[in-house]
Amino acid sequence: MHGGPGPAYSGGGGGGYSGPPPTVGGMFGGGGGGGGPRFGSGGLRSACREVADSPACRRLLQLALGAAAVGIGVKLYTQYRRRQRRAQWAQQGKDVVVLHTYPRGTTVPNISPFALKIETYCRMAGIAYVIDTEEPMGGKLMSPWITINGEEINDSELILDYLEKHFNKPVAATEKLTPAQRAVGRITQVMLDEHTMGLIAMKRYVIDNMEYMATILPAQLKKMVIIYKLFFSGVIKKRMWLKGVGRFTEPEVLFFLYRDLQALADTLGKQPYLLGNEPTTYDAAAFSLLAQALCATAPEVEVQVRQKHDNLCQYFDRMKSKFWSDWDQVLAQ
Amino acid sequence: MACVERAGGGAVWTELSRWANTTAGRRLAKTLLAAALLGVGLKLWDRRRRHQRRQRWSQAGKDVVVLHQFERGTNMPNLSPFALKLETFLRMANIQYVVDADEPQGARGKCPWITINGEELSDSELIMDYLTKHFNNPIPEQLTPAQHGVGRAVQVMLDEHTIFAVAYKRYILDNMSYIMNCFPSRYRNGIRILKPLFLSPLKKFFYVNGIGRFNEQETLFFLYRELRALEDVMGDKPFLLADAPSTYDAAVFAELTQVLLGCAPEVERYVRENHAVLVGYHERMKAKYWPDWQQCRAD
Repeated sequence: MHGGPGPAYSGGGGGGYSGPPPTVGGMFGGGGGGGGPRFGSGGLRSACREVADSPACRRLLQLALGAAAVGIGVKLYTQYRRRQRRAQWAQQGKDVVVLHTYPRGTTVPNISPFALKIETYCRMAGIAYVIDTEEPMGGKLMSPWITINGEEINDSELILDYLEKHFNKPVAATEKLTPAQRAVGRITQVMLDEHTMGLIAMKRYVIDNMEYMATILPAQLKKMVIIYKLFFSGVIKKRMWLKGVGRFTEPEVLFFLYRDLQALADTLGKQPYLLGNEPTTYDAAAFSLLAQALCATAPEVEVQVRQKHDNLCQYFDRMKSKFWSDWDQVLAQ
Repeated sequence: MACVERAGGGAVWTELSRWANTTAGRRLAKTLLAAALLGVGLKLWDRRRRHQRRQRWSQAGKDVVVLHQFERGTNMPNLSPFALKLETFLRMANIQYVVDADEPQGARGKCPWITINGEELSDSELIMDYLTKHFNNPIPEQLTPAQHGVGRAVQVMLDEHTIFAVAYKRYILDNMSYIMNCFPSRYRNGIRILKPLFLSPLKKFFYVNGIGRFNEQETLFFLYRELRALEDVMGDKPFLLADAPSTYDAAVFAELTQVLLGCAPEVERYVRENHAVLVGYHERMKAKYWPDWQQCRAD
C-alpha cells in the first residue's frame, strides 16, 4: 500500500517538478486510496510534458520541420518537371499519340499487355506515336496512358475507344466484321485483359516471386526486383487475395490460365487471325496477351503453349512479322 | 539527456504500474480477463457448432451435394451470381442437392462452396469442373471446339468483369439504395447499421479490382458494351451456343439475373428496352430450370 500524499506533490494536478530528478521511484510519493486515478493521470501528464520540453524533443521537432521543408521542396520541383514534360509532349505534333509506359523489355517490347496492345493497334491503324517512359503512371494509377493533342486519357480500352472514334475507325477490317464476330472479339478481349492477365501476374510475381522476370527485365528495371521483394511482395499478395486470383494454389492458377489459353486457341482455330482472314482491332489484345504468355511469364508456360497450341504459336509469328518487323531492334539489351 | 529520457519514460511507466494497482486498475484488469475468457469461450462454442454442422452434412447421402451459400434474396434465389450459377448448374445436371445457409463462406472466404461425400470444395468453377468429371458429363453437350472457346470466354467475361461492373454500381455508385430491398427483411436493419463499417474496405476492394477507378458513366459504358457482345453472340439461338443448353448457360443466366434484378432500376430498364433477346433468354432459362422461382425467395 502506498502511503499518504507525499511531499513532492501539491494536489493532484500537473504538479511542477523542480528539475530533473536523480532517481525514478522517489519522485512519486503517495497517491494511493481514493484519490488514485486523478493523481495517477496528473503524474502521467506532467511526465509527458517534461519529456516534451527536453532538448531531445526539441531536436525531434526541428528534424520534423526540416523534413517538411524538404518535402515541400521536392513537391514543388516535381510539379515543375511535370509542367516541363507536358509542354514537351504538346510539341509532338497534331494527332501524334504520346504513349506513357515502362521501358522496353528484353524478350518482349513491353511486359504490360495493355501497353503492347495500344502500340500494336497504332501500328495496325497507321497512327503515329512516340513512347515516353518518364511518367509511366497516369491518373487513376493506371499504366499505360496517352497524351494526344494535349488531352490525357487513361485505361487501355478507353484509349482504344477514343482512338477509334478520333481517327474514324482506322482499321478497315474491323468495320467489315459481322455483329457476331465483333462480339466474339470483344468477349475474347475482356477474358484476356481481365482474367488471363491476372493469372499471368500471379505466376510472375507471387508464385515465382519474380525469379524469371528478374532474368528478363532490362538493366534499368532490374533494381526494381530487389525493391519489390523487400517492400511490395506482401502488398501484391494482399491485392491478389482481394482480387480473387490470389486465393488459388499454383496448380489451380495454371489450370485456369491454360483453360483460358485453350479457349483462345479454340476461337482462333485454323483462321490466320482471331476473327478471320484479316487482322482486326481485337487481334491487338490477343497478340499482346499471347506475347506475355510466350515470352515473359515462365519457361513452363511457354512450353505448354508451344506443345499444345501450334496454331497460337503460328499466329504469334504471323502478327509479329506483320506489325513488329523491328521486334529484335526494339528490344532492350 | 539520457537521464531526462529515463526519468520521463521511467516516470510514465511507474505511474502506469502504480495506477494499475489501484482499484480502478484492478477492475480494468478483471474486465480484460473476462473479455479474453469470453472470446475463448465463443471460439470453442463456434468450433463445436461447426463440428455439429459437419456431422449433419455428412448424413446428406452419397453423392448428394450440400450447397453452402448466402440466404435467398427477396426477388431472386441468390444475390451472389456464383451461387446462382452453381445452383442452376446442379439443376441442369440433375444432381441431387440440399441447401445450407448456416455457413455460407468456406475455405478462402469463398461463397458458394460444397460438401460432397465428406469432401469440401470451393470456387464455383473448380466445383463445376469436379462435378462434371465426378458425374461423368451430366449435361449432354455436342459443341465444336470453336463453340467451347466462345462459351468459355463468355463465362470468364461475365464472371470476371461484367459482374464487377454490376457489383460496383449496386454497392458503391448507388450506395446500396436498390440492393438493400433484395436482402431478406430481417437483415436489413443490421446491414444499414453496419454499412459505414464495411463501406471503406468495399471501396478498396473495387479499387484493387480495377473497376473502382472508373466513374458511373465509364462503368455503364463497359457494362453495356459487354451486354451487347453477349446478345450478338447469342443471336437468334434459344441458348447461348446452340439449340440445347450447355454448362456455360448457367453462368449466363446467373449473371443476367444480377443485371436485370440485382443492379439498378435504370439498368433493368435499359436491358428491357434494348436487349429483348437477353430478356427472352432469361425467361426461357427461368421457366426451364426454376419453375419454383417464386418459392425460392425470401420475404
